[in-house]
Amino acid sequence: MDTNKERQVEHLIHHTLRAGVSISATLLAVGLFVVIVRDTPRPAVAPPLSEILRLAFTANEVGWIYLGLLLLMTTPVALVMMLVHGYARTGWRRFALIALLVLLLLGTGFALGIRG
Amino acid sequence: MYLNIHNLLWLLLTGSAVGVLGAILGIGGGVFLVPALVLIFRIPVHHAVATSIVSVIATSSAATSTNIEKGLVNMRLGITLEIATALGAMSGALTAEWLSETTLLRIFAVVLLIVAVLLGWKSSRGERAATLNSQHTILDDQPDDLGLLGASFYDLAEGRQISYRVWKVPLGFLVSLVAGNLSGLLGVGGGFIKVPVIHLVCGVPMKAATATSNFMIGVTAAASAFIYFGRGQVRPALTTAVILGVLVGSFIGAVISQRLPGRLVQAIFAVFLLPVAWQMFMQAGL
Repeated sequence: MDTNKERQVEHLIHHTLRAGVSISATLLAVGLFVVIVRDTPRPAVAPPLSEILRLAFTANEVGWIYLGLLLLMTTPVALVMMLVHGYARTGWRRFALIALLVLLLLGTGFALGIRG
Repeated sequence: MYLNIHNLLWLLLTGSAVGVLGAILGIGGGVFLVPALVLIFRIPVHHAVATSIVSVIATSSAATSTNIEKGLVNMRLGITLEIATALGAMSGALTAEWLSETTLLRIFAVVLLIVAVLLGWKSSRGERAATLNSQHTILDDQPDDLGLLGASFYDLAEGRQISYRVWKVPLGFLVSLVAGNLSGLLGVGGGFIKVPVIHLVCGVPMKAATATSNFMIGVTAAASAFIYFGRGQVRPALTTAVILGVLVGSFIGAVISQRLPGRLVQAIFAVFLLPVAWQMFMQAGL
C-alpha cells in the first residue's frame, strides 16, 4: 500500500465533496429563501434538465432549487469520477476499473431516472 | 402540505434534530427522518423516502469530506463493496414503485425494530471495545502486508497507528447488496447493517468501518435518487428545507457528540425507536 498515492486521491475527494456540498447548499438556501419571500408557485412535476438550466441562469429561484438538488445528487457521481481519475493517475488500475464500474451503475440510475 | 413560513420552520427544526441525532448516534438520519415526515407532517411515504434519500447524500458528503482528511475512510474497500450496494439500491428504488404505502410502512417498522436492537447492542459494547475488538486488527507501527483492501489510520483516542487487513469480502458483498436494497427501498443509509458486518466479520476497526460506510452511503443514495427524482417524488421545497436543517444539525451534532455520553444516548434512542416502530405499524393499519 502506497500511503502517498492514497493521500493524493483523498485530497482530491475531499475538495470534490466540499465543493459539491457548499455550492449546492448555497443554491438551495438562496432559492428557498426567495421562494418563501415571493411565495413563488412550485411546479407540480420536475421540469426537464434543459428547463431547469434555463430557469437557473435567468435568476429564477425555482431553477436554483432544482439546480441545487441536482448538483447535490451528482456530487457522489463527481466523487466516483475523481476516484477513477485519481486511481488511474496513481497507477492503481484495478481500483480505477472498479470505480469505473460503479460510475456505469450510477449512469444507469441516471438513465432510469430520465426515462421515468 | 403547503410550505409556508410556519411549516418551513418546523421542517428546518426536524431536519436539524435528525442531523444532530445522526451525528451523535453514528447512523444516518433516514431511520428518524422518514417516520417524522410520515407521522408528523403526513407526507406520503414514497415522497418521504425520496426526501430522505437526497438528504442522506448531503450528510454523507459532508461527513466524508471530514473523515477523509482524518484518514479514516478505506476508499478501496468502500468502492469495491459499492458495486453490490449500488446494484441493491437501484433494485430497491425500482421495487418501491410497485409496493403499496402500507407495505412500505410495515417494512420500515420492522427495520426500526432492528435498528433499536443494534443501537442497544452498540451501547452495551463501549467505544474502546468497539475500536479494538477485532481479532484481525494489527496494532504495529510498521504493519506487514495488509493485502489489497487493508489500510491503516492514526487513532487519536488510542494515540497509536492502527492497521488492519480485510477479511471475508464476499460476505461483505452480500450484506452490501442487502443494505443497498434497503437504502433504495426505504430512504435509509443502510449503515446500521453494514457497519456491524464490516467491523465484526471483515475485521475493520469500528471507526474506520463507520467512516467507510458513511463514504459508501452517499454514492448508494445517488444510485437511487435519480430514479425517485425522475418519478417526480422529490418535492423540491420540502426536500430543500430538510436538507438545510440536516446539514446544520450534523455540524452541531458533531460538536456536541464529543461532550455527550454516547452509550447512554444510544440506549435512550434504542428504547425511543420502539414506540416509533409501533406508530409506523399503526399508520400501516397493522
